[in-house]
Amino acid sequence: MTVTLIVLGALAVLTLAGLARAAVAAADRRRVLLAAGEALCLLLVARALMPVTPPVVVAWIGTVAVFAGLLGLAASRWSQLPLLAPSTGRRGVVGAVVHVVVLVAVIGMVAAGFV
Amino acid sequence: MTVALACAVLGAVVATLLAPGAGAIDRDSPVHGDRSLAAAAVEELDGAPVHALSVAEVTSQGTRTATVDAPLHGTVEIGSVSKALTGMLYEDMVADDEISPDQRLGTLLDLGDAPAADVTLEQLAQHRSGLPRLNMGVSAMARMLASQLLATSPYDATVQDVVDDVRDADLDADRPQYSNLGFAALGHALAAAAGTDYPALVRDRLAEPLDLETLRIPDGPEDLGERAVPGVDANGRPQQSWADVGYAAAGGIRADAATMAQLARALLDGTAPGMAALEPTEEFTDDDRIGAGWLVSKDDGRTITWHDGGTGGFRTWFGLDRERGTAVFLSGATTADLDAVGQALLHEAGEEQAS
Repeated sequence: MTVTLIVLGALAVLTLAGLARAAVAAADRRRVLLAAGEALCLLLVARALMPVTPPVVVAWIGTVAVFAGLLGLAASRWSQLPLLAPSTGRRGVVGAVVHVVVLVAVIGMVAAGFV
Repeated sequence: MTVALACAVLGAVVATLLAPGAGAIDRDSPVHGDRSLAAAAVEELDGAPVHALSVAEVTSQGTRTATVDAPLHGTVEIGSVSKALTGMLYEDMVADDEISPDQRLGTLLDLGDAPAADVTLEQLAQHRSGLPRLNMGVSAMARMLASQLLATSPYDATVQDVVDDVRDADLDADRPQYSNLGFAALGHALAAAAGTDYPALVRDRLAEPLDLETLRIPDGPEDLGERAVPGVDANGRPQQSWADVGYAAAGGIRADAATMAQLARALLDGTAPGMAALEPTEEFTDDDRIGAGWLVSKDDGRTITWHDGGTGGFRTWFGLDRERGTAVFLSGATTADLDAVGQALLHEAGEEQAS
């Protein structure tokens, strides 16, 4: 359980850092969407697997709050961003589509476990 | 920045409502059966995230059962408490000379020249066979990880799957090693010796003789019965039931609190089949000795005969203080450990009524 907690904590830091970078400096909406999807996926997986102790639950609530705040920050730049940056190649588009499909599948399967 | 702060506050509120542990039972949850027993159990939980509770207490003054946020006769997964019952079946068949403790597993299951063929039934019954907890190949590991993530059962084995796992297993016999695989194999070996299957063995030699009305092994997740209490993990996720015949002898039995109380009474008065299973004959850990499946430990000067169990959606504890003639069965829809709660209830058993 300690290993699970360490892995989830490290992933939370990485994904939120990625979302923070995307929120303030992404060149296109694609990057913001993918970063938000990764963070949402992590929050759901953490919700499913984390040990239910008061400190961990408080940390999860705090992480969700940071996630929501970063989404708010990203939303304020959303209208100024193109869907795809001009430099995005065909490979980047295909990669983004695959990335989205994987994220949606994982989020869907894990979320279904809560129902 | 104001939008971001507002979103953060909103996120915190939503997360608080959806946080793990929300919806767990508390003092205000609906109770069926004995209210004082239910209150004592909830008190001992001390806020642990349990989503339904089933409890039974047997003392010289009588039997009490209760459920919290579950039907009084709702059945639960007793998990590895099943091993203790498999141990009783083993000792019952030894007493009847149908098998012998030094009989090799390979004489009852088709294991060819696999190392496990030379393991004895007694070694299996005491976790001394050297078989691993589970035979974890890459596919089994992947299945275990996926089951944790998706709240599904990691077990979907047939008898043949278990035989194959035992055949492929390496032995590490230097020390006692808790083995689900070993007990699954023991159950099928006993059934083979009796010319039946493991569910029928449990029915014919335990459930029917002792009138254990709800004690049975489901034939799959669709065969849980109308009274089945759904399993839920500590995080509040509904969990698929662990209901497969392959590993049933290690952890696949369901029962309700009244049935487990009936079993406890038979164990306390010595009328249950295979009572020798409760007599410790070997060291198991630094703190525990072992009979056949049953563990025996000292707790605050008392000798406790017990086993616990865990599945995807239940934690269970079943213990006897044979000197005082008391027993407690406790099962909660959770993945939080309930051993200490069970021990505390057993410690208190009979004292409230006696005072």
